[in-house]
Amino acid sequence: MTPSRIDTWIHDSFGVSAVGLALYRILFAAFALLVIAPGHDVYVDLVSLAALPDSLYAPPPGPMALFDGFPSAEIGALLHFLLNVSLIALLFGVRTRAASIAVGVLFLLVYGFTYSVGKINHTILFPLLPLIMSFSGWGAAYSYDGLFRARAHVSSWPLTMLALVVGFGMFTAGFAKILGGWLDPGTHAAYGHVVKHFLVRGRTDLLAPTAVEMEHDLFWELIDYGAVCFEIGFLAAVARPRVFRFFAAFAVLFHLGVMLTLNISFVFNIIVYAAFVDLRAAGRTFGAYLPRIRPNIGVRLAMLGGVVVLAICAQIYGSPLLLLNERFVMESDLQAHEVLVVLLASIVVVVFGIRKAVSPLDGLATEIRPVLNMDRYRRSAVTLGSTFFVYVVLVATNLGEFWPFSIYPMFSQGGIPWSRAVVREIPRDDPALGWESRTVSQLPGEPYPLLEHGVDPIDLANFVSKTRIWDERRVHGLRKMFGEGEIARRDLLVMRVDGRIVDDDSVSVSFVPYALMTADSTALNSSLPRTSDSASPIR
Amino acid sequence: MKRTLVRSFFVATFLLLPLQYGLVGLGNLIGIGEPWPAVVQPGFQNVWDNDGAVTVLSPEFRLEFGDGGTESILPGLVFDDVPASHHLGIMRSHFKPAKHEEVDRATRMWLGDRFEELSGRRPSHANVIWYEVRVDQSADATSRTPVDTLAIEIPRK
Repeated sequence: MTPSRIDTWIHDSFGVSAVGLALYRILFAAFALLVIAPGHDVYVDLVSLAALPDSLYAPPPGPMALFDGFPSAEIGALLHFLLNVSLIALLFGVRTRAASIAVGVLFLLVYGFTYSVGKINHTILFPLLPLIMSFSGWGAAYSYDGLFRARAHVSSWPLTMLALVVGFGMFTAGFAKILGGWLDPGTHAAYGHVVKHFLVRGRTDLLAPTAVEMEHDLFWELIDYGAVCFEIGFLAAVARPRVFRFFAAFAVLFHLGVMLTLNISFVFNIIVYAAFVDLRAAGRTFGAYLPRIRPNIGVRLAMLGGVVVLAICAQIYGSPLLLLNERFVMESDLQAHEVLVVLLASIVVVVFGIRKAVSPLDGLATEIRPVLNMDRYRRSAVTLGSTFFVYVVLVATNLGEFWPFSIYPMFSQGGIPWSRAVVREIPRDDPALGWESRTVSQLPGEPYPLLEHGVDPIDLANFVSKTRIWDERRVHGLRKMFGEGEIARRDLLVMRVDGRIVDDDSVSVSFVPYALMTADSTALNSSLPRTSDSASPIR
Repeated sequence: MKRTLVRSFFVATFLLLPLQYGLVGLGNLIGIGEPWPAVVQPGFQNVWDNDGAVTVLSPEFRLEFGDGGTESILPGLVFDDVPASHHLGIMRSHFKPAKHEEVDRATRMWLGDRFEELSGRRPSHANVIWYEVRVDQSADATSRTPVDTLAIEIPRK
């Protein structure tokens, strides 16, 4: 490459505009606050980490070795707050460059402490992004800086730099696979990982069971080769922006596949790939719909005050998306909010991919406008098609219903064994209470009407039947369903009810005691799989 | 920013990326592990022999009490403040017999408190037992064989 071609590649590969960059800045900050949720999500929670003794501090080689131990809970909370303030400042574009650098450095530090227990999760692209983009002028528009300070010059070279870093990062993943033997036809590397994560690591959610059962040699060999080619090719694609955009879009679907089969989301990479949307076209398209803000003292005070107020809110309440994790508890360490984000990103990629494939038009603007301007019949068809797609994806991956996309399987399950849960109120210190299975005439205690006490019977039945390992977290979840106040008043025995057809003409129903919840503890049936093989109570 | 300065940034990046990757390889080679921060994505390097079985190491704590009773607890329960994907990392870093002949007092004290919190009584000893879990998918069989043990004396309060 000649110097002029190198300069063209550096400065003109990815077109940008002030509005497009501003939209991405806002998206990134919102993503970090809502999805990564400093101080609230388990991977960025230094306060919980402070419970560990410093003797377990095992920093990776690098700057984390400068510290002697984990930060105290107070220092951890302070770092979370600084991170939240920086993110809100980035969202509003207040001192954008300083805020970007602070976000990058603080995330490197917080992740660094989290990884000082002996394991690194490869989140590096996420904190590097604001550091690199701080040079892009992404605070020039729709920002405090744009309204009240000198308007920044926008540059596209940081996107080329980011592409180089992303491409190299993906290359390291592919290169390691080649060294490990993924291209050996005698091995099935991807399938091996699926089996290992499913059977040993308990990653049994989404499509993992289907993947484990799919023992198809050619399919898995193609997956091995495809993964290596994709990851190695990522680096080569850096030379061609259009090809790189294709790789970035495909990477979202790649992570979707990994999430569905291995239950590892890599959600933090999704926002990095989003940087390679055509930001100039996005600015043209969406900029027309954004309100124009006039700079005055009211706006100034509102923005500066907003940084403080929202940072305090983020510090105290965290992200509302994390509530999903309490509602939809997964068997694996995958979290519901991560699943939602990866699914949404994949839907966006698929929808735009299809439109790109069928349309000769180029650029995001020309992709969006026809949707907004199309006649109502086509728009209805697109809406219905998209809804149907979401429905298929959500229902298929959940192996059942997924609110708000209901299915109505009434009477379609006839003859299939079923499982429900009942709860009995047990006299205190009942000596006759045992853990053996019972029939309906042998049930102990008195019936406990669930609905009258605000417990959804379907939720309880799902919780009981779908819990594979009864660890402390699940027991806590079960108690929370009833409330500590209620359990303090009465001892409750949760029983699983299994029904099946026997002798072709009658139904056998058995009641298996699962958990006895008392004010002080929860005793589990010793035959249940749990993290401790003793039957001693968990509180 | 001047174009020459930007070009210098790119030249530095071109040089630094492979260099830091070389350090990652070196760190893994000499056993000090992967540095942080480093531009590396996960390789999932291990492969599955189509005719063989998946074999992984899985540790657990075996508690011994003064009255002769025993109880097993998985690391996930002991380190439940830490993300699940890090539990094995902690065990590898701190409780591998080959690396640690003796666990330091602060860790033993903390473990004693944690075990007491979880099981309701303080054990006198704990063994970290490393099992080799072998999953033979073709034979539909899973076996668990103890292969190594690290003994930890739990100090009294």
